Amino acid sequence: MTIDIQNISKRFGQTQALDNISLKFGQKKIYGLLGNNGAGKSTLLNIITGRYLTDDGILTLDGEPLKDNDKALNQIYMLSEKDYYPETMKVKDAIRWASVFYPDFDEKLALKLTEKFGLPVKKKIPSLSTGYKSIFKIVIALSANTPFLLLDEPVLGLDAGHRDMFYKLLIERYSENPCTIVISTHLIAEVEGLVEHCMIIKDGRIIKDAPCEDLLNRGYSISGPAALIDDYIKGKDIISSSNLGGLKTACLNGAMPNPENLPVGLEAGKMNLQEYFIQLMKEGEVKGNE
Amino acid sequence: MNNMRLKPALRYQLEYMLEASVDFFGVIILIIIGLRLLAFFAGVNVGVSIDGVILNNINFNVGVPTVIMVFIVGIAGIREDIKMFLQHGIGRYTTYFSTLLGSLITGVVYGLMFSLIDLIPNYWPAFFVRGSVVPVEGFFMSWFLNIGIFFFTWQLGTVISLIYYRLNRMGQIIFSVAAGGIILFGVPNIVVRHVLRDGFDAFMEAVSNALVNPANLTLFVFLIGVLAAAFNFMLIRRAEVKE
Repeated sequence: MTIDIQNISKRFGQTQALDNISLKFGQKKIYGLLGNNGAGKSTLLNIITGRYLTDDGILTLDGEPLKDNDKALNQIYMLSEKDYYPETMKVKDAIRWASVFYPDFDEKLALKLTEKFGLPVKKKIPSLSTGYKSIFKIVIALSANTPFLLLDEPVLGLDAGHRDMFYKLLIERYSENPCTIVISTHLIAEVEGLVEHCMIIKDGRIIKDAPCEDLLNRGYSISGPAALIDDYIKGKDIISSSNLGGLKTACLNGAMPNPENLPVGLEAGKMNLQEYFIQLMKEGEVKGNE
Repeated sequence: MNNMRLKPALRYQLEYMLEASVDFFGVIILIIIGLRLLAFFAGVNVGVSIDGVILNNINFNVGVPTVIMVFIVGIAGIREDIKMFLQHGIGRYTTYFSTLLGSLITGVVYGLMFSLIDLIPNYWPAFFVRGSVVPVEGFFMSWFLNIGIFFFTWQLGTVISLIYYRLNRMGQIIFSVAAGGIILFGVPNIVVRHVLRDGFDAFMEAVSNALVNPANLTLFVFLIGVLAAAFNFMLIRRAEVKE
């Protein structure tokens, strides 16, 4: 099963939220949809699930159009940042209805998870705290058993303990019943060990779409005294650079050099995803889809 | 069409309608019992006024509040249903057809209920104030008319709700002012009357004469209900979830 997105654009008034985006979500992989606030991550996920309509472009699931196609939409569950439940609905009712709408929804698991997280099932959804709202959404998402699980800022308002519990449950769920998971977040360090494929979105455009390993192997960071760094990076493909006192760190495209070949005083290291992302966001120009 | 999952959507809407109906009629029944008790303990004869307070409405006309309730359901329901359904993988077309069916089923059930209530005085006249006997042979026509009224009312509520839902703030203000103008000042009436003069009056008289006939009235109510439903289809096609 593949979600195929071709040339979609979306505008809200004067704001171009998405600009001619094309990408694919393949089967049984964990994707990271990364971007700053307002980059267009939520808009993209809302378009996939039909909550927003596109101005242009085509969305398909295995060649079937997704727009208002219940059978295709039923293969996708999206955990939204916003609440889309009626004001009077209680947690237990939401769980019951999820099992009506999603035939493979695991109601027993959902109730077990509510106990595990200490989620009060008799409370109305709007009366839950931000953290418990996130837990409620996580419970439904983990029990949905759909081939595609889209998670939009899933750990919003969660404390460290609950965040850790969520990531463990997500991995457990994925290993027991592999599905395609798309995690949209700006907490990159937390999902770094989880995501296999990165899609980085900036100003409504996908600027990187590649396996995380590939992305991180494409570049390296080098740090040392500013003057030495400036000399070293001359003529090289610079992703970005930053100064801290007399020290400078630069991120460069290309294979990491052998430490023996580096000038004395300089240190090269592998970039981590967060570092790569931060450097990429600093970078002025958009290089287009990979 | 064959990709629609109508069953869970309709089940959701009907269950909520049932819940709303139980709440609503529960309150109505309490009010009726309260009024009856008041009449009994105050020793009031129905239709008599005490100190200027007229108690001749002691039986409480349930029809009008029910129509208002259905109208409110039409307004409030669609907005929550769009969000709830899109959250659960149900598209706009299913939302539309489910709402359409939901309003028709509600119309059929409520219509039957009220048509049967109308027949009760025939068999138990002492309990009722109005005393007028409803002809049994008119039962089905009365039922159809009631279905039409409830169906139209729900669809009208949904039209109004969706118009406001789809418009931006400026559009909402313009629509409110325009609609207010039309309702309060009868702008089209004045314009049409001015343009058509006597012809308009004759037309309106012909219309009201035609609608005196229950079959014509039923047909008319269904027709405007279908028009409202068609308008709803156009509005829902491009409706997006609002935050």
